[in-house]
Amino acid sequence: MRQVLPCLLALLPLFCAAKLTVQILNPSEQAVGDAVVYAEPLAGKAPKGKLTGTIDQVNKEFVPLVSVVQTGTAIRFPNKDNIRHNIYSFSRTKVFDLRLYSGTPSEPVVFDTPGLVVLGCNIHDWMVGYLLVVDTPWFDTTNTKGLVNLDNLPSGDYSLRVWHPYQSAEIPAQKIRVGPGAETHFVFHMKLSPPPAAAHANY
Amino acid sequence: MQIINWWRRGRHRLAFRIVLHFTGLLAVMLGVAFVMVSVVNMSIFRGTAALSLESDEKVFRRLLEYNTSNLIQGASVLAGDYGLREAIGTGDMGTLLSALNNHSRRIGATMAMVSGLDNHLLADTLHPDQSDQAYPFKALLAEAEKRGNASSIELIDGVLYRIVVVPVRAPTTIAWITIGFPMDERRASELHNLAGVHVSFLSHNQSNWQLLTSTFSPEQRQSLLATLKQFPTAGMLKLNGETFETRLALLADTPHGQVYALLAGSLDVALQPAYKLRGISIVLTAFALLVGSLIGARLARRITDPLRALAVVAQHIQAGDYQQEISITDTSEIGQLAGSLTHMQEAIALRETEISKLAFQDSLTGLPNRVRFNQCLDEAITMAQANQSYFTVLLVGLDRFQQINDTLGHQNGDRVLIEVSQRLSAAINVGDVVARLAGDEFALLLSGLQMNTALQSIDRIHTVFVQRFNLDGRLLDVRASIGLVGFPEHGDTAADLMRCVDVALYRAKRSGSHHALYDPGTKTFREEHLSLLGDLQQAVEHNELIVYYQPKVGLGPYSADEAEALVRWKHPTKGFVSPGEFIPYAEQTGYIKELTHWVLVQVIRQAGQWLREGRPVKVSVNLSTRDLVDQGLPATIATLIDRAGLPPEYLCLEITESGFMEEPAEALNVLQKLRSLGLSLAIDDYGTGYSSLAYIRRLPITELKIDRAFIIELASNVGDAKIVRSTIDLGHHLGLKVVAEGVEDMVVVDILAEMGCDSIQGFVFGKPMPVAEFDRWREARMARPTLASANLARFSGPSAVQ
Repeated sequence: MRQVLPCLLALLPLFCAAKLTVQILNPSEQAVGDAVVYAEPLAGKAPKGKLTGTIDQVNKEFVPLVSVVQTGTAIRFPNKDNIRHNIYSFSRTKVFDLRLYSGTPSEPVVFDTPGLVVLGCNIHDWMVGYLLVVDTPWFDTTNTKGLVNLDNLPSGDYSLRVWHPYQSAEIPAQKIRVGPGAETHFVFHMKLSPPPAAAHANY
Repeated sequence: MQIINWWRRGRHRLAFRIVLHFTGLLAVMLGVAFVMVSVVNMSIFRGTAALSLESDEKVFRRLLEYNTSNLIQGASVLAGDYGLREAIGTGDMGTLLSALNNHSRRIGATMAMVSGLDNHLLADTLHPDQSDQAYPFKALLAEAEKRGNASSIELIDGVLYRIVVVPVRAPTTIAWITIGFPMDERRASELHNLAGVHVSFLSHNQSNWQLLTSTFSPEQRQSLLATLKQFPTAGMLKLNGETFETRLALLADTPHGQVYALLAGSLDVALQPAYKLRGISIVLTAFALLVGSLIGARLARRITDPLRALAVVAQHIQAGDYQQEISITDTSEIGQLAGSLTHMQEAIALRETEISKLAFQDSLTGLPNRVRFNQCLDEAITMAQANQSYFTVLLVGLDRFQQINDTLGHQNGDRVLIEVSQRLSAAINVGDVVARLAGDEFALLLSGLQMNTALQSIDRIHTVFVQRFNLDGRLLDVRASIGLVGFPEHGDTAADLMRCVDVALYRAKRSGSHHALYDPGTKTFREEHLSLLGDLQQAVEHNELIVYYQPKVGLGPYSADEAEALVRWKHPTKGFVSPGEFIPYAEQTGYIKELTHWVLVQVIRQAGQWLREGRPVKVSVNLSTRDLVDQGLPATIATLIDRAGLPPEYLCLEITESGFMEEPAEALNVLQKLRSLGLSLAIDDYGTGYSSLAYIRRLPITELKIDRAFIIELASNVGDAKIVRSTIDLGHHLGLKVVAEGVEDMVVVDILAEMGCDSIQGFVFGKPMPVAEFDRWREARMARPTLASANLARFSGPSAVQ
């Protein structure tokens, strides 16, 4: 999804856009990676961003673990392993089932409903991928320092949201104003539960 | 019955007792050992059974766990089924239920339910029609969330299930699937086969036990149900005749009650080796007992066989058989006993020979003794009676043997006796018997000899004594008197013959002839006298004896102040018994001493009385031969006269020559003592013996009494007159007073007076008379001062002895 950024950056001069920096820490002030941060405009419809994406299957894992895309994005699932994988989702956001395949399937899957999609592989039960579909082009996932930069946000009011698959509780959205002189640096604290038993990881 | 008899007979026997004790002890020891081993064995095996049950429970639990993990895996596979997940993910409940049914059956489960994350049931194969019910095992879910899975044992509608809960992931947890496996009989049987114990599942709810399932037989189940009211946690349980060691294992504590597994190992099976061991031990014990008994019996026989042999030997010894071979070579105590018995047997034989020798043989001479002689006599009588034959018995008594003993010593006396026995033995014929009966008495049994020819044999015996006896160069003259009796004329029993021959010897001795045939006339005399023994003693005790006094009248100036005391016996039935009858008998039996003593007491008392009455009488008392050898006599008389206050000059003691000659040395001693007391001593019956005046001169006597034999014919016999005259003269020359006895008429008195005789004793003056009569006589006598008047007192009558 970081590929989306240059695109957004390109739009920046047009809107005289602002840049937000969000950091997510756990209660021990340690960085939380792989957390999704997105800002939804409170008024008006968000513009469409780049509506393609890729989630790889590398070494019997979904890479990245957590992805975030804008509604309507078509995602490809290239299989980089030399074995076949299946990808399915029983999430209400998007139910689909890609039969066992190698390489990249010819048709990408289009996620046209916002919400969470949990991806699994039918033959590797431990493979899990989280795809959050949001109605905004301003989103990203935190790096290892727990930092996210959201660029090119036009001035206006936004709902700033964070999410992580392991979060133990939902983090309330924060209303922010983007504009000259407005705060551009935000910190969220988030408590994570350990992921469910990884008993299957040894398979 | 036989056994009882055997017991009765045997219980007093040593062998039996040894075997009984030995075997009894062995039996007790073996019994104790057996019981201990059995008890210990049983408890070991029981303990083992309990321990084994404990490990059985562990195995059982491990099996359950193992099964559970298998079941969890099965459930996980089921949960991973894509179709199922799809049905859950897509909310296709119809598909979900049928998939659950299908898949759970595939892994042998009979119950399956799916619950959502909101703890509500999505599907339940047990209750397919109900939906959206609350999930019943929330605690299990909580555990599953923590651990990824969970399992437990639950009661559902009264059926016992092992249930497992696993998550359904797609790929995150979207639901929980709960699968239940019935713990039914099949399951229990599997466990039974694997763990080797009976398995029963029980539920317990508010003291209400329920048997859910069991591997027991239906009967045992019934039995178990009956015992469920008071259920033990572990221990022995008897079910339908079979004993089990049991253990109760809590499997689950559910809201519907506790669930237990009852594990039961058959004790009968567990104790099988113990029973087997006990069987072996019974056989071994019996065998040991048998062997022990046999050893005991053998041991007992080894002890008792020699003992029994010895007992037999001892019985033979008791019966008088001393010639037994004792052949026991044992060196133990029994061998020693056998040795002792052998020695004892020999010693007894030896001693018995000695005893019979002593019993029948005279130890000094080796001749048969009196007992043996009597036996020979009996045999001879029997034989003579059978053969109509005869024999003679001789009793040989050595004369004055006592003198030889006293003067030459007993040793020489014994040598004389031995010599005599040898000479006698040599003098008799073969078949005749010589025996020594007593001190100096020998008896001879001469068979085939008749009395009328016996005198020749007497000579033969007498010649035995002709040759002098040589005692170390001193020649000794030994003479013997012989009494003879003949069978059958003098008696037909040994006792009769011996009594008769005794009398004959006595007569021979008394008469001074060297031998005497038995005179049947003396037999009655003697026997009568023997019967007097008791009478005489009684006479002394009952004062049947009376002392008579015969006056001795002095011829110088006639005086009447002397008398001789003579004892008279007034027998209560026989009247007066003549002194001639009982005095010799008293002398013979030795009773004369008592008699003399009695007379002395009477006389001394009487003399004392006369003295006190002022008319003293000097009294003479006769002493016998036996009195003369009584060394205590002088002292006795001294005491008597002292007590009576009688001066010694009023007592005179008369002795005979023969009495004196028997034991001259002792008699002399006694006489000297008497004389030294101041008593007068007179020789009685002087002239009949062989003693010379020269000999008499040496005696301490004061008086001579001339025997009546010389006096009676004094007037007519010139020889007698000469003897009397010279005796009186000689007596006077020796300083002796001379008394004449048996004077019966005044003619003789006159002659004696002319001869110078001092005193006269005889019927011419007075017969022996009692005290009162004597006193009257004396008064009369005193009134007549002349000798001539003595004629008045003369009377005729039987002459009194002495």
